[in-house]
Amino acid sequence: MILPGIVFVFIFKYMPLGGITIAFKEFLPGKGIWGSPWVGFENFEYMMLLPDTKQVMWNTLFIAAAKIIVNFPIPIIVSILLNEVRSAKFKRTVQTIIYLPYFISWVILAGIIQDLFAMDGIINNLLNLFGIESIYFLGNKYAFIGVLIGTDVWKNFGYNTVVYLAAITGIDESLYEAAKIDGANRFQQIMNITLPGIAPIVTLMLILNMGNVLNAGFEQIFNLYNPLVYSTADIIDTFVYRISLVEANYSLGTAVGLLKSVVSFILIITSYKIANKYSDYTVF
Amino acid sequence: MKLRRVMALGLGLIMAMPMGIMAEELSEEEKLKTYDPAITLTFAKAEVVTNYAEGEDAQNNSGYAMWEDIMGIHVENKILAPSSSMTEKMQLAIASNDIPDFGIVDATMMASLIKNDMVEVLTDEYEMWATDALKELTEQNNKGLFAPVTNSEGSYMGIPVPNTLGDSYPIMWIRQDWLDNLGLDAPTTMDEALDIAMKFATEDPDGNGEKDTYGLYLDKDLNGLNYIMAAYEAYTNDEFWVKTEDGSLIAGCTDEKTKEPLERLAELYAAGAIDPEFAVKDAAKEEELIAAGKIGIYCGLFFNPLGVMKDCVANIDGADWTAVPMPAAEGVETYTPGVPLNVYGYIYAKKGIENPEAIIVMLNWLCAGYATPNEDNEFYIKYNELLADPAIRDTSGVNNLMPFQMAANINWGETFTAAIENGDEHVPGKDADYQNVISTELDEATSWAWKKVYLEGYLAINFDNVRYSDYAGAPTATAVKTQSLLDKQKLTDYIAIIMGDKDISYFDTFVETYNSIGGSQIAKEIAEELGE
Amino acid sequence: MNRTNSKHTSGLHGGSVGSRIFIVINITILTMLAVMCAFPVVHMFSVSLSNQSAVAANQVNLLPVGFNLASYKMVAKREAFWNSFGVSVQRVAIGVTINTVLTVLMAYPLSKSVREFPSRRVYVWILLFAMIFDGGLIPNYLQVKNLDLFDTIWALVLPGAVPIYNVILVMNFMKQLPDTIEEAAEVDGASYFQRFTRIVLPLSKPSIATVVLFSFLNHWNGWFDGKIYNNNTANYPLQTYLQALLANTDLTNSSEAIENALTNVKTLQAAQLFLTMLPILIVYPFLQKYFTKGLTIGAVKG
Repeated sequence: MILPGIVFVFIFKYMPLGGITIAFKEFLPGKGIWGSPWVGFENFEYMMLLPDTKQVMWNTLFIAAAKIIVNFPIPIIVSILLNEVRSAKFKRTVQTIIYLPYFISWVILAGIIQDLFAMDGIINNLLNLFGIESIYFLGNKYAFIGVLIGTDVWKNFGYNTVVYLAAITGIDESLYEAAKIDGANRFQQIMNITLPGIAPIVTLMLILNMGNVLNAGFEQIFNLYNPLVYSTADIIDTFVYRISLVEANYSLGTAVGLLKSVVSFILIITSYKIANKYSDYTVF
Repeated sequence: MKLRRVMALGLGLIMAMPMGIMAEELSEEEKLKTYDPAITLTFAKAEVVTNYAEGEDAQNNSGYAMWEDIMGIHVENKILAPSSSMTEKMQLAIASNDIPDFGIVDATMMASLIKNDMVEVLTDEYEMWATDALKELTEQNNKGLFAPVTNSEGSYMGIPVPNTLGDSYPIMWIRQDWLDNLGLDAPTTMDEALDIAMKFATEDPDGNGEKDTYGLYLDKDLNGLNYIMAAYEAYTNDEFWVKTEDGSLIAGCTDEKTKEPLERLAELYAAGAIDPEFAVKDAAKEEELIAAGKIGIYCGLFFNPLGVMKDCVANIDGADWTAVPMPAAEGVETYTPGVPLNVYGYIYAKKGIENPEAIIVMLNWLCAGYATPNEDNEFYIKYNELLADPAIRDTSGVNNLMPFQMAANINWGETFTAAIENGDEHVPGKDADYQNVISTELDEATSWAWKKVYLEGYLAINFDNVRYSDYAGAPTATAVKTQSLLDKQKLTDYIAIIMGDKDISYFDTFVETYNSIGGSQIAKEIAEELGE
Repeated sequence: MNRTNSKHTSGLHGGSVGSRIFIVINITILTMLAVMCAFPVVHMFSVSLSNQSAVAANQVNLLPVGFNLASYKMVAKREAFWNSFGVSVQRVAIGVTINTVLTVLMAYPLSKSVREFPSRRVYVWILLFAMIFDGGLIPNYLQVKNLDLFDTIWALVLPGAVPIYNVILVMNFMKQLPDTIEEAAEVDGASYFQRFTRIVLPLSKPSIATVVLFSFLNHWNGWFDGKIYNNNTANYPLQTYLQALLANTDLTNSSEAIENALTNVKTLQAAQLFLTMLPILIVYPFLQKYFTKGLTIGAVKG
């Protein structure tokens, strides 16, 4: 029963792994993967020489970490707020709407974002209303990072509330009853019951997110960035894409990609281990 | 005397014989061959058409059918991709050792193909098959166009597909009505032009009482910058190398001569004569300002009136643009633009294909029936039939239906002007455009645009006065790896200087960065290559 | 699990002034969030229905200005768009089927304990490694190339045939189903396969609905593979088509520059973006009722 799936996994996940050897070769397409000559760590050495490499690594870490940090509290707060809503209908409507952005592709969103954040776009018009001068959102290398983080949070926060809402649902009702009898107000109930109640899941999510610090969001950045913001927004994945497919340096591209894969692998496994230790979490 | 010449000829014959070159001498007619039965060649086609005539598509269309009828060559699109992703598609095809039989590629891709030993040497096929007309075209400027496809042994690894210099020869377009409103004359030097740009921004040329106009067009890719730079004998085009006085080569964009124009542009920017948001707008976006009548000077090309300038004229009462030959800076004698090699690309034949000479045959036909048209040529006749077909004219246009195109340096402005004086009804080779120029049925703005393009724009072109990069060979190994990074660096730092984020002393830092991330290394590699 | 989670608040009906203020603020904040999430979509829809000059002048906010259907009429005539739409539909139909079948088939045995399924650990590691470690752009490309899948729908559905994350999700859901039901069936003589189809599958409906939604999204929204694995624009799925349309095209060619001015009109773009999104807007409310449940149980077991 498990076999058909395993066959596909083998063909499309394991067989390509042989291709990774081109990171240690000078890949000559005419000779194929196996016929190309070995060059040892030359590609990795060159990678370290390229001034962009360090910048790209830093950008990746910075953007990913910033996304994780900003993405973290908002869904928790929103789930708590949602939980305090009485009208089930209102709650469901809000939920439906805030989940929506998660389901739209970055290709489409990029089309919308470019429009909204243009110099003469709606966001800048809004800022002008408040007497703030227009900002080059997509061309200013700092503002652009803000756009990346902001739109990422916007896309995902709704969806991320799902887990927390479920955890809140699981909190024992009698705790609230008891608190009310003690005269605790809403805010006190949230602080003393809801938050501690979801603390384990919050910790778990945080640990699991650690594995993502090298995923700064290829699809988002690829569809939004431009040379003006390369210095802050070029990340490992976009860099690999350009080296491999624009500059045709397949071996170098694969080397950079491999480095990322290895580090990511270690990070993710570590986060699983920690999660397993502290929260008794198992992936499988 | 006579004897010696005969002997030399004989010697030449003997030497050539073993190589098989003299095996057969083809007549000019034979070189325009029609394969029977037809042969099939696979191709990488950049898709530019968004609407085809009924029943046609990128593979099955009248253009490809014409190719097959006349040349006996069935072209099959093995790769069909938007031009923006063509590089990536070809790179992937190379990576998997599965490229189309022929294709038109740029010098970088050509270098990649040569390095990977994927293309056929075409020297013999070219010598044997190319018609005189084709040779005249491809060998213009002392075979300058062959530089990127010639290997160290002097063999041709591909053939240039010539384009007209007109497509890259800069022209200055100025709002004539603004000049009139402010009582200004057309500029004769670049310095005057930039002064005019300043006045366009500060003296309310559209007379609406608001400071809402800009003097000079610039966008985030700095389109137009190279044209202005050339006025100062600075050549900032991508991959443009200039010989310094001591004979060494430097990247044009690191030349000290660029400092003056950069400073002038920074002044214009600071004074509000350039759109403050230019650095985030791509050409399409920035051009909206032209359409809206907010920009006074656009350094561009001959065909620009057909784009947004037309909208400008349609949108704004009294708007008019005039073409001025690009002026030189004070102290510079003549304006000499730095132009890329005027080719559509380089055509290659995949290693091992059965009929590599078919590549030359296609070029022959295209030259005889299209680029330097001969009215009796079958291709020419068929092409003109399709050109006149309204179903095609109103959709894809016949040019986009051909696998590729070719063009010669013909000053159509002069041809058209003369034809109109003579009252000619047709101009062979460019008749569709000529009909538009003389048409009385087009709407006002469109008719204006066609006339501007050919009766003004084209006349501001001087084909005899251009300059190529002092190194035009294939990109070196480092250039292939780092060129895009270098171009990006140039763009970012130039923009920083123009926008005043950095002052002009930052130029030295830019040069240092540029050289350290690949510039010096490329210069070294070029010197080695030229030294050999 | 299914108790209404706002029950504890009901006791506060007509509560203190403080709590009333809180309710007002809370509802305001949530409403604003919802508006923020919906606005861009609504805006785009309005742009697609407005006239071009109003859009160029940035007059369109929430409602269309100069309402007309011109852009939709233009899209209707764009063969390339509908062709790609067809590719996407085909991709979703085949891709979702393969994904779901393989997911469910793998999840069931893996949901058993090591005692019942001795080699479970091995498979788990095989999948875990494959999920985390990626071969990279070029190796993956060459593999698809070598299998001769280019320009076929299979290049878009087979490489991701087993969405491992989804397997985990369904597996976890199946794990928490009470063992007693299956045990009872076993006693009644139901075979392994019968237990799977008659008992486990129907009970796993929420998690299956969730993975169907995910794999639908994945296939409908995917563009990168379409860009890499197709040599012919005719085989582009819709999102790849859009991506190429939105990417800046090279304007060095005069005819192309003119072409571009005519076709890259904002309203037309908006219409195509909206039509691309439409299937998601249609499908999503149907599956939403399942997915909250399927996801929370599957993804994180407290």
